This record gives sequence, structure tokens and C-alpha cells, in this order.
Amino acid sequence: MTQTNNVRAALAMATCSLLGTGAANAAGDGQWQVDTALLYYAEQDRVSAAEPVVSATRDLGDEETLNLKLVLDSLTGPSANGAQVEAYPQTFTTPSGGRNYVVPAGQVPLDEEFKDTRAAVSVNWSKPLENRLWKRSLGANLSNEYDFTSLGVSGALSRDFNKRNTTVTAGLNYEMDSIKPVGGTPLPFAPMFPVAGSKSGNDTEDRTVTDVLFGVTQVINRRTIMQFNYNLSMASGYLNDPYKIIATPVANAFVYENRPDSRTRHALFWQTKYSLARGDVIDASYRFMTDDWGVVSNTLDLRYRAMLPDNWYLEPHLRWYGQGEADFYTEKLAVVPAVGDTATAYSADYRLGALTDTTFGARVGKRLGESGDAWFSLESMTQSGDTEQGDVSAMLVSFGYSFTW
Amino acid sequence: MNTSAPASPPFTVSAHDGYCAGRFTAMASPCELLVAGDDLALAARLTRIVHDEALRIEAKFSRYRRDNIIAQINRAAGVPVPVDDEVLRLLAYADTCWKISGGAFDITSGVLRRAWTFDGSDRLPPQHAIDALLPLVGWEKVRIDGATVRLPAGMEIDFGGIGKEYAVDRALQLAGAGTDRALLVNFGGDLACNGSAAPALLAEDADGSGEHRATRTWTVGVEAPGGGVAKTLRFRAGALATSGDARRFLLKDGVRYGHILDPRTGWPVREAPRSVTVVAATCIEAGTLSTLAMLRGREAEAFLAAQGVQHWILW
Repeated sequence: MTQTNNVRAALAMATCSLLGTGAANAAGDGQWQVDTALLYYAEQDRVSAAEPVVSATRDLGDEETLNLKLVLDSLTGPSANGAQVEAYPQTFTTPSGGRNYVVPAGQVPLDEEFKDTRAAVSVNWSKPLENRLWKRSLGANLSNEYDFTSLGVSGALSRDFNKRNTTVTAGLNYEMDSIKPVGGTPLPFAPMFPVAGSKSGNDTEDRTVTDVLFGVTQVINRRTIMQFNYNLSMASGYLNDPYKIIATPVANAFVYENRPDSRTRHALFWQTKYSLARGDVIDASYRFMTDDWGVVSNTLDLRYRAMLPDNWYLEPHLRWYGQGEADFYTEKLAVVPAVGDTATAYSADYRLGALTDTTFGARVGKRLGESGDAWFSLESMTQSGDTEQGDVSAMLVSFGYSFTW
Repeated sequence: MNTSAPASPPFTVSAHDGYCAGRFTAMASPCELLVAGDDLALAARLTRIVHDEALRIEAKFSRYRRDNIIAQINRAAGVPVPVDDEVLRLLAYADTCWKISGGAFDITSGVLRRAWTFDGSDRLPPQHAIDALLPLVGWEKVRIDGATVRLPAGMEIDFGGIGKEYAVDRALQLAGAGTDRALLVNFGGDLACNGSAAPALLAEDADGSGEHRATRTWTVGVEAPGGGVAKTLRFRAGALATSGDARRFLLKDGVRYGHILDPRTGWPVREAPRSVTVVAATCIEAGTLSTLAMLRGREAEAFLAAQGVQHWILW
């Protein structure tokens, strides 16, 4: 008889000819499920970003899957540099130290030279174990910008119970980041001017982030599914933003910020999806986060997918985010710590201050065939912080297309 | 003319928890179509499609009919018979099976049943009866030219080994064209299903938020020989078929002769399993793999393990 390893392949081809292309999608037939999306994000007068994403998943048969994902992030535009609005003009220098820029009185100081392109690629493979109730997955990801490189590996194990109505997952993620600030790493609390003497002499800084995840997904009934996650994240190393400064009591005198060299975060996440008779779905989630920097945040996210005739759908979306300030957040330094004082932490980065974010919008889309989808989404985000630095409004426009290939 | 009770409906449709079922009898088997959801009207429409396709294939390929294309081919005695595209494709498929099995899978082997009666007794046929039939067996003697088929006189082709599985795949294809819902077609234990994403409950976000992509699965119970559920399978999409029949055999001097005949010898395959069940992408692949496994006799397990398909063998 012929070689046994050719039999299955020969049969698969013969079946294709017999049944014609378009035979029912079946496990292991070598098809890729591809999801593509493009997000365009534009803050008013500030940063805009375009982010194309391509994610492809291949069903290798027998519940084994392989996923490849590519994300490109292109950010341009100014971002708040940490100084406050003043009644007089302020002068700053660019991170490379090459140029100065002046911010007129009454305006939020924005860092001029902000242009960044990030590419990230990730691979994830998952497969059930011999006892098919267990499933393992492994992943790796690599991300690169001109001043930042990140490499991560992850692993997860999950087990089904209760006739697969309950899934318990445990996951571990380890990431190593390398930061190469433009112009070199600034010393903590070193003055922005003169540039000489403000740098530590290090070209590269490192940090590691370890994430531990525990999750439970539970099918409550035919219409309801719930998920609970606990996530512990421990970051250690260089956690500063090398481009952020803090204002001092002296006008036009700014110093670089400094943050602790470790951060431990706990997050609890709960999500419910509930389906209604017509095929509509309500998706609600809540996330609580607290860390040892003193930041506490709450996120509430609500979506309602309304099915329309002919496989169209409309999905309004509302998201509310509230954050309390970090312990070492300050708008302006009253007393300036000594240059190079790594034991003291201060930051005026508005993203570590108190913030409230409200996003609302809607997505409209159409399901195509068994696993295709085309959609367009428009959202508006309004953010307000303690100071005008944190007052940002943005538009998010995105569209996506999923298909099998 | 009988004007009393109306003819019984060709099929019935009923609603259950989470799905609707359409049922009818065809190919001497209980047949059913399961449709996810609670749309009874849709289930009725799709059951009509599946029922009609099953009956069409049965009528067209059954060796018990005197008027179909199979009967014409088998009566032609060496004269070329024009056939349509579907018959050609099935013949091409049978040809592939013949090649990859080294001649063990042969749709011309049906004439051997004239010598063998598998009634559980110990009456083996005399060797001369088998010898008389062997010249009438052999796929290599079939001529396919263009769109015609030519069989030497006395030879017969029989799609019985793959007809039901082909019907299952065709029925699923046709029904699947009419809906997005998950479907399962089951003709007497040979089944195939597809798993369209459930329209509501577990729909995933397409914006790459990293959500677990979950689709509805069908849970299929495989019966143990003594009754009861031996195994429970969960299918997102795929098929299952069984070869073998524990009831059709002969037993003499302690040796069991299963009903799968090796066309090269005219005798039952030695040490063949009683039944082989295989899970594959389509019902016809599953059925072919299970038949090929049976034809390998005691190598059945090694063969299926080498193919990397889920399978169960009953010895």
C-alpha cells in the first residue's frame, strides 16, 4: 500500500475536487482568519495617531491555533511636557537639545518634537493537551520604536470544567524593555538648561515587567457569559518618562522628573455578555486598578450591539474612566530635590494625575458570511484632569475588515 | 384511488432547547438535520433541502434501482455510457481511493457479494464460486474516456461505500448556503456539521481587543457497543463516519469473517476490526479513512494513528 502519510493529503485534495471549493469550513483545512483594522486618533491640537492592525489566526485542526499579529503605530504631534500654563511665555529645549521652543503665555506647554513610529509583532500558539480539557498557549512579542524596544514571552494554561461551561485560566507574561532616550538619559531633577551636565551619561535604560493573570470564564446560561480576571503586574527598572519635566518656583526653570524604580499593580476585571432574543448583545465590563504609586482607577465600558436586517449591526459604545493621582504627582515643585536624587519621586505628567475620561460613539458594521465582518466606528473622547494639561478632547475613527483567506 | 388518510409527511420538524431538528428516513437510515436557534420555519425549509438531496442521491446512485445511471452503466456490457459531471467526480474520487489503497478500495468489488452471505452462520462459499467472480472485479478494467464510462460485461460499479457520506457532505453544503446558523447533518450515524459563529451570545469583537474567539460547538455522543455513550465529542466543524457492522459476519472454526471483502483475493480482510469510527474534515473523508483502515486489518490502528485523525476502533 502507498505511504500512509500521503493518504490524508490525497483524500483532502480528492474531496475538494469532489465537493467543489466552498465545502463547509472545516478544522485543519489551512485557512487563515484575518482581521484587519485601521484606527485614526486625533487629539485636538495635540497628538494624532494612525494605527493599522493585521491579525491572522490559522486553525491547525484539533483545536490547535496559531495567531500572528502585526501592529503599526504612527504618532505625530505635540504632547504635554509636564510644565504648567503660566501668564508669561516659557522657553523649553527639545529632547535632543538641538533646539529651543517658546510657548506663549496662557497656553499649555506642548513638546514640539514628538514623532514616533512603533511596530509590534506577536505570535501566539495554543493547543489542547492529551486530556482535552486542558489547553496551553505560548506567545512571544516584539515591539520597536526608535527609542524603545520591547521583547516579551507569555504562557498560559487553562482548564475546562462543568461540561466546558467553566474555564479557569492562569497566565504568565515576562517582558524586557530597553529605552534609549533621545539625547541620553536625563538625571533626576537635573535642570533642563543648560543641557550640558543634565544627562546621566547612560545611553540605554532597562526595565522588566512581569504579569500574572488568573481568570475564570463562566457560561451562566444560554444567554449569558461572564468573565472575572485578576491581574498582578510588577514592573522594575527605568520607569521614568525621559522627556517629562516639572516646573519649579523659578520662572522658566524646569527639572526632569523622577519616578520610583518599581511599580506593583493589581487589577480586577469583570465582564458580562448578555444576548437578547433578536441576536442583540449587551456587553458590560468594569475594571478596578490600584498600585503602589497610589494610583487608583475605575473603568466602566458598555456596548449594545443591535442587529439590523440583512446582517447589519449598530453598536453604540460608552466608556467612562476615572483615575486618582499618584502619590508623587505634583503640578509644580515647591522644593527642588538634589540633582541625581533617585530616592525621591516627583512627576508632573498629567497622565499620573487625576483624570476623568468619557468616550462615546458608535460602530456600524455588517457580518459577511460565516466569519467575515466589515465595520466603521466613530467615537469622541473628552478628558479632563486637575490642570489644563489633562484637558484633551479627541476623535477616534476606525474601520475594520475580517475575512478568511 | 385511496382517498382516506393523507400521505404521511416526508419529514417532521421539531423544536428543542437551543436547536430545531428535521427528521426523515432515507438510504435505509434515520436521517436528521439540526439547526441552531429556534427558527422552526427555517428548519423546515432546510430540512426540505436536505431531504430532497438525500433522496436525489439515493435514487441516482442506488444499485437497487433498475432505471438510474448506475443501472445503465452496469448493463452496458462494454458499450460506453455518457455520464454527467457529478458521476465523473465520484468516479475520480473512487479512482483516488483505489490508488492510495493499493487496490484494496475498489468500487467494482460489489459482485463478490453474490458468493458471500453474511448471516452469522458458518457457511463459507466454495473457492470455485469466488474464483468465478474474481475476473469481474478490478477497477483497472474500467475505462473512463472524456465523459463516458465503459465497463466490461458482467462487471458492476457500486457507490454504496461512499454514497451516504457523500450525501451528508452535499446536504450540509446545500443547507449551509441558505443560512448562517450552525448546522449538523446526520444520516444514520454518519454526520457532518459546521459551526457558524452563534449570532448573539459569543460573538467576538473584531477590533482585535484580544477576546477569546468562541463559536458554538455541537456535542456529539458516540455510542458504545453495549449501549450508552462511549465518548462525547465537541465539534466546531467537522465530520464523523463509521465503517463496519458488528452484525454482518460469518463465524467458522473460531475464525470471524467480517463483511469487508478484499477485492484482490475475494475473501474478507483478515483480522479486520468490527468497526472503525473516524473524525475528519468532511464525512466522505471520514468514511473513506474508516474503510481504508478496515481494509488494513490489524494495521488499522497504526494506519489511523499515522493519519493523525481522531478515531475509535472496535475489535
